[in-house]
Amino acid sequence: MKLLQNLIRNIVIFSSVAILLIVLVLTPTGLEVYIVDYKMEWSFNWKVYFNNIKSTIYQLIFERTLGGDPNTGILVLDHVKRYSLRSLKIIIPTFIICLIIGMLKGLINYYFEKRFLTIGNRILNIFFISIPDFFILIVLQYLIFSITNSGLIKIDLYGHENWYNVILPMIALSIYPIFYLSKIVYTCIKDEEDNHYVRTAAAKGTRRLWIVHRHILMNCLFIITSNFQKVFIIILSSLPIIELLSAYNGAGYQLMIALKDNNMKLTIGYLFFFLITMTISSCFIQLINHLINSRSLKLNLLMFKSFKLDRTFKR
Amino acid sequence: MNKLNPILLIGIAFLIVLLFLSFIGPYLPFVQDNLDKKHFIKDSNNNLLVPPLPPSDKFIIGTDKEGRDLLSVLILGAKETLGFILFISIIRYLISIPLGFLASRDKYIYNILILWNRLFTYVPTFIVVLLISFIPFVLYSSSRLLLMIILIAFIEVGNAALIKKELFAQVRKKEYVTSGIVIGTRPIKLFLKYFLFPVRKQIIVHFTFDIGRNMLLLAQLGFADIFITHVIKQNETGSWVWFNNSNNWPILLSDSLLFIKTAIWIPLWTALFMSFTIFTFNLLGEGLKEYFTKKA
Repeated sequence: MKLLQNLIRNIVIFSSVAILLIVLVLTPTGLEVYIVDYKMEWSFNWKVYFNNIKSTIYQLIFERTLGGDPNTGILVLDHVKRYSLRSLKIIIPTFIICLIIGMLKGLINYYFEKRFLTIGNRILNIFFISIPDFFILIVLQYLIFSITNSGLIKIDLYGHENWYNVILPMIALSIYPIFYLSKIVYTCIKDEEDNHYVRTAAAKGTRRLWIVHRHILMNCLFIITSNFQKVFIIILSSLPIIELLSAYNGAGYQLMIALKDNNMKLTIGYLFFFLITMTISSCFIQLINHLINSRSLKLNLLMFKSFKLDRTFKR
Repeated sequence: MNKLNPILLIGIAFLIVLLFLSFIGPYLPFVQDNLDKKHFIKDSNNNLLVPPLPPSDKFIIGTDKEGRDLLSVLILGAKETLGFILFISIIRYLISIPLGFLASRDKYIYNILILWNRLFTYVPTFIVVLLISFIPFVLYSSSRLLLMIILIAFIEVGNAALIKKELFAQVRKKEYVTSGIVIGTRPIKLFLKYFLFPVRKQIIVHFTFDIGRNMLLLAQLGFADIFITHVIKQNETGSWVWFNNSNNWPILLSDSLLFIKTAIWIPLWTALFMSFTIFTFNLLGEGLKEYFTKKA
């Protein structure tokens, strides 16, 4: 039931964001510029603007197409498909790597707490959370430049043609989410540690590894999985800049070009790519959440308690 | 008096460096104040060189594309840039604190805030700012700078207000609030003394982190060649062009793709100054958090 509710909520949000984006993108169509006395004057034609919005939404719903790109004549759908597949090659592996390494790092931080919680390490953690991804990318490019200039190896850093072009953007994109997720995992376990059931388990002589994995982590999972969405948002929102700086010709790069050229159809197409990826990921993460949390002990206990309370009230 | 922790101390030290650069920096001996744009620069052998020039004895970290000393440009632009990010955060907090308070009382406002937050997270934030900045009413407005700052502040209001809602909701459970309502305190006094005062420390911490995040957003906008300061002028051929007459940092990030290949020192040093700013405010926030929790 809750899954269905979430699905409806996702659809409502999706359509409202889509309409908002179309309304925003199409505003320059209502602009009329003319020159009076060597000065630029402008006025806004609301009628043209509303007609444009109406026809675009009509086209999307009934004809299921955005038509062709006015400059090249290529169908917007084909254009978006071609470049967004390249972006997905970065997004999906980065997301998976961030989840795995981030959770592992959080666990390692917890196990070797005393070694990791020194002031130096904490400052290092803040440092890695603070440095923007584009700075990491520029520094990496600078380093590789100086290596290639010395003549040791030759690498083509830019473009999308070679398989290793993906690596640099992936490194730049994944550093912040990894540190973010590891911090969440660490604080989560730390908060859970003081609970009675953990102390009982420890007093009974259960091994620490077993306590953390079977007891604490299972109960923390629903907080951790609810942060997966945030990780995805972080990756997706830095994607355009990273693609621009590494000249990786993907959806983010094309979106920036379309925006600069004032190409409204392509802009809408690429914005929809971002919107759809976000919606699919959100549905997927909610599904994972649902599957994991139905097994979570603590949540079941909470639900059981509320169920009992309900019954007593009804009597 | 509570002891200052090392993270807070480093943060304060870095902040002093930033403030020193922005207020006293312009008067330092190695900073050139006349930043005229040049098409070429003469070297000691009277050869004409076309900027951007790489780092040398005369230009410690090189020049920008207009032949100005990059270090001087960065130092002269520091005050303006820091002012922008601070101003954006102040506006955002002035709006989001009352909104958060209302949301903790009213479920409808809470739902609107959730929708607001979702709307702008589904597409990268800086893309939304880009889209809005192309709206004619903003683009041709005479007070565009103020409008852009307010817009950037507004877009993240949803997120900021939701954090405040959580804080106020916790306060609402406390008994002294009920007693305050019972003795008939006026609503404004109730809000200021009973709600805002107890959570002031958390709000200061969030505010500090928020300033750092604004720097990131401005940098992203700079990469996309959108600046919050620009002027429209007519050129010789009669067409209208936008150009900048200010020195803030994001402007130096324009055309980065070209400069990374030809003059990497421009984006590298600009990004370094920005990263330093973000690092400073994150250290300050983290340090203040520890300082306040230990005190309590």
